[in-house]
Amino acid sequence: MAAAPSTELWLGLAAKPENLALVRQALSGFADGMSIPEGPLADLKQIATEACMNAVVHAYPGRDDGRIDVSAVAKAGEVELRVRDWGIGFHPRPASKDGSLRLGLPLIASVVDSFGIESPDGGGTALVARVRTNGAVEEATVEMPAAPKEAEILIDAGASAKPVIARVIAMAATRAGFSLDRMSDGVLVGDAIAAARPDDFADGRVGIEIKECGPNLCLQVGPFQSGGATRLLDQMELPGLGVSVSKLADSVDVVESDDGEFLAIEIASGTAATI
Amino acid sequence: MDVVGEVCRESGGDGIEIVALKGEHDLGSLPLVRDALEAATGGDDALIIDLSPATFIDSSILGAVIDARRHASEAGRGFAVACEGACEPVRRVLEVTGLLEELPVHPTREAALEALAGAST
Repeated sequence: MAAAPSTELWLGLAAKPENLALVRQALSGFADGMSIPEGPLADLKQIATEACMNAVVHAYPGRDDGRIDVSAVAKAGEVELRVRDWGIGFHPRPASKDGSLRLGLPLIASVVDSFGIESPDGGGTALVARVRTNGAVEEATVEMPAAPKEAEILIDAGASAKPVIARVIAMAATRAGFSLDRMSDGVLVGDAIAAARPDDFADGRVGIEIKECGPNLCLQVGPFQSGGATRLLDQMELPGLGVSVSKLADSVDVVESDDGEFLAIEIASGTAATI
Repeated sequence: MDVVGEVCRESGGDGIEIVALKGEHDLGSLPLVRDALEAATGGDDALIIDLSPATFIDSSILGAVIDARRHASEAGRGFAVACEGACEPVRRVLEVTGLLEELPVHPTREAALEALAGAST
């Protein structure tokens, strides 16, 4: 039986300019899995980029530890996009030198069917926009994790998770300066994670935290049901290749924590050391 | 997929400089774009910004384009934008912000070169 399409994507990211492209890649993967046409996808990417840019530039003055949450929820015929920060809150500001505020919000307004700016509990600003997709998908609700860490993805397990995970890992590997073959290994690892059984995860959704560890990428996958991480590891034979993920990654460990069971995977960049 | 933005500076001949944006451009690549545009507008040459190879631009890049046009105008130099049909998402951004009408946007790089060459004669 084919997996049901994912209807929800969540990303938690550092509020940094280089992460805007990562958001667009994740949305492209989400759209691939949901068969969202190019036009609505282009609008979603534009809105997300403008809203994230606003957060990067204005939400955390004098700080470099700001966070952004991005979620996309596919409902009947539309996608609800939410971009949230924990910064100083929304204040109408005069036009900035780089022109972003002169054009950013009007640009969002011109491509969405509706949007609003909220001041959520806990501070900061949330922009919520709805874009019609002309597709019939199931109603779903969004649940925002409360404590974002590093760059994180949260998406319903199943076939539709594959393009999201592949694009985000490829983008992160590109940014980390991975060689092409090591980037391919990273994407294969992502494919294997996406192929996991939904009921092995604690709530049926794949959570991946991505960090740069020096020149390498570190992935924390989970939380799993008890024993789920070990089962996934055992099942992580790559289709048609006869190669296990543990051979592609430089280290794979099952980690227990108060939040549950996780897989800790490290993939080396393959970049030669300079002398 | 061109997810990493590149900026190329080329000579268009006859006192015309071309800055082409390839791939996706946003706040992350804005310093690269601004540096290239400032370098290109630092001399006496007219400037063409070729957005045809761009697959995405945000409002920060539009701001840089507007600034480049202002600098060129203040210095009395020619300015044009090229955006071929292939760059539909970029064209749409120009359209919804009103810049398609506001800026001298040409359907091809060749048309932009002809317009600037015509303006200088």
